[in-house]
Amino acid sequence: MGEVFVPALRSVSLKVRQGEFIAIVGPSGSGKSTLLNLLGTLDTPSEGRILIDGVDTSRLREDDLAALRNTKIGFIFQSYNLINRTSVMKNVAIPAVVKGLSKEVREKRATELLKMVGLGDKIHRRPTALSGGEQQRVAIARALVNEPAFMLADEPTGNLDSKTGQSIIELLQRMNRDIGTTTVVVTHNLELADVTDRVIHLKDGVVSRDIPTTRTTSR
Amino acid sequence: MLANWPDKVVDTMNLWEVGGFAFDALKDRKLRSILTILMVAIGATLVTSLNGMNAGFNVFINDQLGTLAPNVLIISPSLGLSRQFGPPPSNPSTMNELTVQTLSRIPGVDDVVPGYSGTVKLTAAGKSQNVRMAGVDQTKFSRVTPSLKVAEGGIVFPTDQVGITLGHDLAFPTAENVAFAQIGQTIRAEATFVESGSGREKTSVESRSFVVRGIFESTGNTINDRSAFVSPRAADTMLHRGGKFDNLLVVSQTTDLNDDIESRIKEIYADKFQVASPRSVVRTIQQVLSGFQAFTLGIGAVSLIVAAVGIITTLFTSVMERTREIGTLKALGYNRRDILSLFSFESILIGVLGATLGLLGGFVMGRVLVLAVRFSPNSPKIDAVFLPQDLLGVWIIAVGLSTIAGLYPAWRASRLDPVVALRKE
Repeated sequence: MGEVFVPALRSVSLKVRQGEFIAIVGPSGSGKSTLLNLLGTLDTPSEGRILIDGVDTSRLREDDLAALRNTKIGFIFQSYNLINRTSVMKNVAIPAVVKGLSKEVREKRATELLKMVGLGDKIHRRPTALSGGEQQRVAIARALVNEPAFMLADEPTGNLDSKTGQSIIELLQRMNRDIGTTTVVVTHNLELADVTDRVIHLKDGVVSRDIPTTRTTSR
Repeated sequence: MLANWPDKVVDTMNLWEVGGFAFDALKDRKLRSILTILMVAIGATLVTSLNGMNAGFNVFINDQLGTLAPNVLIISPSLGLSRQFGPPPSNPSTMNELTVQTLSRIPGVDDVVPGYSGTVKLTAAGKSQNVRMAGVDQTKFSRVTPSLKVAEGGIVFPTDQVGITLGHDLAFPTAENVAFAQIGQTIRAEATFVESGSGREKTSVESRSFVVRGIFESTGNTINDRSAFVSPRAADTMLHRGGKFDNLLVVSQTTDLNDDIESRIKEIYADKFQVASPRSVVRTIQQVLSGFQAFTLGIGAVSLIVAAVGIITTLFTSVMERTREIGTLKALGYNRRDILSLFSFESILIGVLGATLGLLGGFVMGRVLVLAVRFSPNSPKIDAVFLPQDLLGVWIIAVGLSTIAGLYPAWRASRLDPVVALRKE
């Protein structure tokens, strides 16, 4: 028996505009996370192209892709993925270290962002000393520290209760509105999908629906 | 490729940041890190202490035999060991005035200095010591044992039957604050003889008084420093030698002639006498020692290799445990080189801390090891010697091995696929 090639995504054609807040929804196995990984340049498509600011990412070397992720993309994970042995502020500053920002600039930016997400008084705490919602706020601050062009969030409310999840939704909404960072969120959470500009429905690796929400129409 | 992006930055992390990150990671797994550092430290301790002890032995041997001039051959009666499975020597191997004359006629021989030696009990002001008494022409010390120099008083001339000179440690015992004897003081020497005749053993004691003429400077040679020297004639009488010398020192005109003279002596006397030059003795002992040193250093090297395997295990476990962290860092823009640096620095840090601790441990252990062979005041004064180049060598090897050991786990970490790594629970 040879290996069977099963494409996770097929014929997906998608254009994300600057400043958009997009939700990608669909059942498990529909290819949501694969699409997010492709957008985040963590994965490469077997066919087709992904253009970011007009640059074909499939033609970039691995080091250039790393630099691209560092400067252009902010990641938010379902399990927060913070480094527990170090402080909240250092966690937020981690992407800024490889960007080559000085310690002073890093700390200043991290502190400002932590204030913006409501954790200004907890910058020296360890992530383990924070609640799940607070840890996700730290992860959002980390995603924004290098002032990326867009943020990719994989089930950002998946590990949170509904009330905390709601506060994270509001925070993402506020960041998108105030800073203007393009945001793409993979979610099962319909409340989150409701506040975005556009909802892309995936089914069996195919975009089944791509519709603007009421938020866009009411703008 | 990213030229159209003005804020493109592919800066590598600076050393402080990598170091801080690596230190935090080690601190996070304290016990495991401490145990790994200890493994390196034990290896470095072993190598450092054994090196120090070996260097100490070398210095000691050079001190012991380096007191004789290089152009001197030591002739002593053969113990017949080579003949233990065959018939005994045809003639008893005695050395007398005739031997001296025969040796003096060998081409290239400048002088032959005969000597007597035996153990006597010296008593001065109620205190006694068992020491080696040597009867030798002290006017020739400058030629045969140049390091034996008079510190106080003078030498004993060949015609002097009552004069005695004392080695430095004999005159000033290290265990006591008071001198054993002073210039001009009379000391008593006693030699005990056991003679067997008509089926009975008879003990006799030869007892004589000597006047201290001089005290020698310390030479570092334990035997000379703890000896008493008298004239040959006085020693012959005192030790009941009847004109049979215990050893002869043959002085060659130049060191190059040593081998020729040695061959000639063997031609004349076959294996009745043993011939040794200080250089050959040092060489032989050093050959034996170098074998021992290779063995001991081998043990140390094995322990360092075990430590390297320990580092590989520790870092591999760390990479496994931190797979998701590696995936996260890659997602946040850390490239392969950054990940490789972070993990490599952990092994370098383990190596630096372990090697430094190991050197300190080696200092202590080296001293303890030599103390183990210096348990009594009369034991040879061997000190561990730590040569800077040896210490630097051990440090570099320990850090180098640790770095190399950490490379493979670090490389594996850097090659992890971020998508797979992020999926890891």
